Amino acid sequence: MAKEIMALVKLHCPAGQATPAPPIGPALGAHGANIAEFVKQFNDRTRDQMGMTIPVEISIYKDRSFDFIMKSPPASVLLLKAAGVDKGAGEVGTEFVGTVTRAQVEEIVELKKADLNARDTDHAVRIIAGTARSMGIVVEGVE
Amino acid sequence: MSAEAWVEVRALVPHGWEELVAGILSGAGCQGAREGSSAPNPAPLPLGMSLVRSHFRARADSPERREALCEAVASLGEIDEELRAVELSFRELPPEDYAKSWKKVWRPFRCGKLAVVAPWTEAALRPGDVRMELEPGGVFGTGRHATTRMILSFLQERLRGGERVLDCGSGTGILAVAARLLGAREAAGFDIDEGSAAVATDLAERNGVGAGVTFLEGDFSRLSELSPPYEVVLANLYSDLLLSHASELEAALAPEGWLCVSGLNASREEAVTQAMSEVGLSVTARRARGVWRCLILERR
Repeated sequence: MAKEIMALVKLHCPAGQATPAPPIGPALGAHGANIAEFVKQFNDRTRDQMGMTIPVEISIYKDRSFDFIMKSPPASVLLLKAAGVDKGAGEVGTEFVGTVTRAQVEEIVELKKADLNARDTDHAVRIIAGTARSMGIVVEGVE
Repeated sequence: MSAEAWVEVRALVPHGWEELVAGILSGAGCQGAREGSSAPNPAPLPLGMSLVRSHFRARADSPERREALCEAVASLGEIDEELRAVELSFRELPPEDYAKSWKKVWRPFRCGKLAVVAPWTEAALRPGDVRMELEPGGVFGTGRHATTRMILSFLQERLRGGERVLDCGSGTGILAVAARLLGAREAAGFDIDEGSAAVATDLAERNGVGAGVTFLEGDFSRLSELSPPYEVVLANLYSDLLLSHASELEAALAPEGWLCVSGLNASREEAVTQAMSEVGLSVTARRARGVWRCLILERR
């Protein structure tokens, strides 16, 4: 079918546990997209990532049908993996949980650069390093 | 889920930091997040800033709650000076049952004698109307797009009854099912969209024409698993696909049959007409709606 996009909606939804409540309800409902159907499909596809918040981009077509793609995993998830820890600090700046190298940060930037709204690569490194610090992960080699 | 009021937390965030701020708000008790605005004419944002929205239940609202969110976001200023520019504001959303309210936007519609209604709509029909019940979902082809409607209109004008119909790129199955409801003996379709075959089969069964329909998931390579040639071939496809599959469309068409192509923009009409001419098909009728074109092609 020849699909014509009416709206693009970018959401961060809990894997396997999305509901019609905000932000999904108002975001999709305004365009007459079938919210229950989106919730069902999203939860089906993300059930094995329960506990994570997944960035997702939904295309709503002019005939009110939709489809969606999952964007790259959140930087926080990639950083925990790189640091080899299970959990970040509960509050910003209160705890130290692990360390990552600049090279690991650059790998994450590479993986996420299509989805990061950064000015350039240096800015992307700064954002990922900032995300690491917010979780209590020290980045070696980045100011 | 019943109607419930929510508080929308609106964060103005420097570009690039949207995911981090969305994560901080979620971690501080908000539910998910949304980036940007999908309103038709959103108010312009300050240069270099994005809008991130998150929500919590209004019954959990309190000055302390709002203060805690502001503090969580303010603490980000220690991480990077760019994050000192993050601003939060709050807006109360009226109670709404979002699981149901989207249905208000979806209204039944008519295309000739075909009345397309959702399962939850009651619509008065005229004698002779053909009712199709369709629940819009995640597969394209709800009948609301001009390209689909032009084919629906041609089907009503041209089907005599008893034909075998093929729909290439069948989506929800709306065209094939409409053809069956309008008298076609058999209808088949294929589409590359995941889940489309199940949705289309369900549409046929829901409308009492499950017998005599076949839907497959895949591209033109699956055509050999169906039973060409067909007296009517439908193709609501991007013009690039119409151009690259002209010979397969022609081959699937019975000697006295007609091909209906839609999905092409006015700027591609000439190219499609030329490609079809090269495989021996000529335009015998056309229809235009806005920038979209729909052509009937038959053998010379």
